[in-house]
Amino acid sequence: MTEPLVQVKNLSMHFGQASGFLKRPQRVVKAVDNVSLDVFEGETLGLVGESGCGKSTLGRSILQLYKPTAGTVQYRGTDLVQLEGKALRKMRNRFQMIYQDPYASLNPRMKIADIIGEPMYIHQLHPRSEIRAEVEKILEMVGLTREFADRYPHEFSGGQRQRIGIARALAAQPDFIVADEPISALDVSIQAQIINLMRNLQSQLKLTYLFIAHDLAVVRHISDRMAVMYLGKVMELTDSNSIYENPLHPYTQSLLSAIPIPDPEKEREREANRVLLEGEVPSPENPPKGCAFCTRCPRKQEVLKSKQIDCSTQAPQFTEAKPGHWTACHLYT
Amino acid sequence: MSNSTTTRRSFLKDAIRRFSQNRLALIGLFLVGFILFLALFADLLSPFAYDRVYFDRVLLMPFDHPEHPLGTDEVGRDYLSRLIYGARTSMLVSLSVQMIALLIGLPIGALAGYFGGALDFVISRIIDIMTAFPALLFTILIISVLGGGMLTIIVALSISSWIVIARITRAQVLTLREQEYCTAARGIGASEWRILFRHLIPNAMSPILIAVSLGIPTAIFAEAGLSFLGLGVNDPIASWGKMVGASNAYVQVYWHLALLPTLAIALTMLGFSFLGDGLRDALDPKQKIRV
Amino acid sequence: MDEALLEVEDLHVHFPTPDGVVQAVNGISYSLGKQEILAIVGESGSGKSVGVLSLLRLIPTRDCEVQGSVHFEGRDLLQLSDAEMREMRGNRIAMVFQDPMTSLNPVLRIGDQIQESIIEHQGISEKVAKGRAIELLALVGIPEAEKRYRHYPHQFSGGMRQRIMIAAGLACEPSVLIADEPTTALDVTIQAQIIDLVKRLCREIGMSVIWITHDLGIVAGLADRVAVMYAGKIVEFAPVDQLFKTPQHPYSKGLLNSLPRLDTRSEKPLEAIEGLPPNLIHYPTSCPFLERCSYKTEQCQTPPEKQSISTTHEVWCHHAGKL
Repeated sequence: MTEPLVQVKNLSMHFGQASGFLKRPQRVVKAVDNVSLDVFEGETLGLVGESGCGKSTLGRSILQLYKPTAGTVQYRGTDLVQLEGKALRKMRNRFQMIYQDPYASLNPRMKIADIIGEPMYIHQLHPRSEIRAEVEKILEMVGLTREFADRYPHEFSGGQRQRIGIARALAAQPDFIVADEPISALDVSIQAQIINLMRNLQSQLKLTYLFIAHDLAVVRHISDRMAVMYLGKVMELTDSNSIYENPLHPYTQSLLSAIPIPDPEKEREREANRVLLEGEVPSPENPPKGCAFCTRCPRKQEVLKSKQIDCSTQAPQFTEAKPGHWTACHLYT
Repeated sequence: MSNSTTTRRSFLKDAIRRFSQNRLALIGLFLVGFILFLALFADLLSPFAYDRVYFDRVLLMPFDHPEHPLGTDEVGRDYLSRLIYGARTSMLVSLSVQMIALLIGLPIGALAGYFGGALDFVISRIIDIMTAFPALLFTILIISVLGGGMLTIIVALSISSWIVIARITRAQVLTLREQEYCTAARGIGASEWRILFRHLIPNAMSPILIAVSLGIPTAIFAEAGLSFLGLGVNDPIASWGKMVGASNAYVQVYWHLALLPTLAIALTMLGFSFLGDGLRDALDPKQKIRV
Repeated sequence: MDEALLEVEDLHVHFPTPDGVVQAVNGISYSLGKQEILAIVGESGSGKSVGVLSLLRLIPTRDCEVQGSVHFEGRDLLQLSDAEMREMRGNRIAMVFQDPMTSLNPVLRIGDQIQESIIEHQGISEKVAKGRAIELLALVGIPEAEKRYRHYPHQFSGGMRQRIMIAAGLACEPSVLIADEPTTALDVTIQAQIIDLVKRLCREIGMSVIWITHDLGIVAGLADRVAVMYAGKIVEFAPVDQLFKTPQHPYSKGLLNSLPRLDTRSEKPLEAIEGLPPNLIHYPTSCPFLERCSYKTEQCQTPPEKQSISTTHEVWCHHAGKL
């Protein structure tokens, strides 16, 4: 873990900026706002947050599925944001994505063999005559059988389709995979199958994951480090154990306390000290001026008293509060 | 909910099942098949050539003469033969028009929908203008500039027909390109053209095919109408519309001259409409597409 | 729990389709006590929603066949006429659904939507109903209820709309609230608010709740008793502590083991339940969980009968108590 595989610096993805031919200027949605993080080779970085916090958009802008409006994404020393057209397409096999919806992400008119074979064909990873055999190899690797190759996506269940989506990603021979809520559309008993599969593949193929999810328990299980996002910004970033055992940011603290644990005794204990957040997430069209979390923060007064800082006007810096533990909160500056 | 574990049949099999349970669609299929058969084998099926004139057998009523079961027209041509050849004209014009409409409309609509921007702006405005202009007047204008004839009719009708196909293709591509599998195709490094041809167009085909099949009766009717007005195919080619038009002077006595080609037009249009509706019900069970 | 408020007996729900009959619910029985929160847990296709919605005839009867009996306030719900059922729904039994975005009528002010059922069922004047509606909005935690009463659904966020749905459900002081995955579309911080609200209401107005969910975490903090459903059957029925501490059915056990836990970290792989649920058209003649079960024996070729572990803990497994 010396050099980061992927280095994201000051990345912003603002939607709706006035551009193009005869288009009226629209209101700008700051889906991702000035985010910096590193993903190290061989690790799993978890990215958690509630819906609309920009975690999916961040994943997609790292992979250049959206063109970021500002910032850089260094992949092994190359800035992907600067790449265009063919140069970018040629590199795409190195970083792949697993999608949330196993139904929408597979072309219904293509056979499984063609879906999985497509990246091999596009990037000429194997001679054309060997693609079929390679597809079958990958099918077995993700726990399916070679008979599946000649069938269509609609013949499979959600879990099986997600395996096909994973197989398509692997077919490109990537070393970095962004998994965008890969299990949230699946049933509980199937989720564990996919998590185990992803972990096995990681150790077999030396993959690096950016694992996006809203379920903190799942992310804690699979990740080495975790980043918590809120309203387009990263609020806290550290190793998965510290985030649970010693969360620094008030948002992380209340998020953790809101997640139910499947244990009735523990739940009764936790209920007494539960920090119920008031209100709702502000609109990303019109985020608060200061700290993104200031409208709901239960510790705002504390900051004002101890530091004489008004959170609603002054935005905190994302700083290293402890070695390896980054957070964006005035309490730790 | 409860259906998540039921067996899923393939889309095509499902469509065939829905189609074969639709009685009207089957009638349509039969009628269309019959007309196509007549059109293809007109040379073998008709007792006489369409332009063979018998000066001594002018204006025979049906069953008057053993060799002309449906009588003859005002210049002594076998009416049955002309009706059969009329099917050929009708099919040739309507199928060519829809084929050309597909060949022009599909790529233009797909490009506009996929690439958007200035290209889409220009194409959409052309479509708007063409839609706002009365199609019939437009067609007549072109024919009067280019002169009559089968080719002119086909060109003139194609110019107004591709708009429908382009509009539907554009709308389809606009929705489908937001589908996750298109993002996924971009993610594996597929080129724009590959995404368009491998991923978008195959998925957009059902509604486009429905539009084409429902466009055929429109074209049949347009050809018949133009021929009736004397703007259609040139003599001596047989056309149902022209036959109705020519019967004008004699219809009070020789009723069959108007009735038979009118029946032919009606049955063919009915056949294609039933078939098109059947296809729509089969391919688009949720009735999302409006033509 | 001395007296059951709602008693479901041997409920079957079948859907005829062109491929055959989907046996969505296959003979489930349960009862709901006063002021009790009963959770029904299961995965998609387990029949957890169908089994409850069919009680209130919320699934069009032309699409399905419902058999069995449902006793509520001395009557069999399945025998009621459509008019009597309407009287029952919203008045005595309220419902909250998964999607707060589509359950409210977008062109009516929310106040009017809440009032509607009060005026409809209790025949009181509009003025009294309005006061009651504002009271209800305040009760479910909508700030500035008097002002918000005049707003339209699109002016509220998802969590707020779910609160409004609950307020509308409570309007006639029903004795039972049926909640079908009411927090699935919401974020965890909002989910915590809604759960907190329902528990409070249950205590304060003495209402009973049937909460349908797939999330065992919610169940642990919310329910008094739990029914675990699999392939249209209840496989285990137990008080919440017993279910989590000593699950007796291999499926409940498997589900609990397959969950990653927030409060513990282990490097071991999760204990996944392999395979898929059975096809509900070709319903197995054996125990429905047979194919995925790691405890299966010869016995399991016949479907298991109910086994009572204690007076409150029931399991449908041949190996109950021996796992």
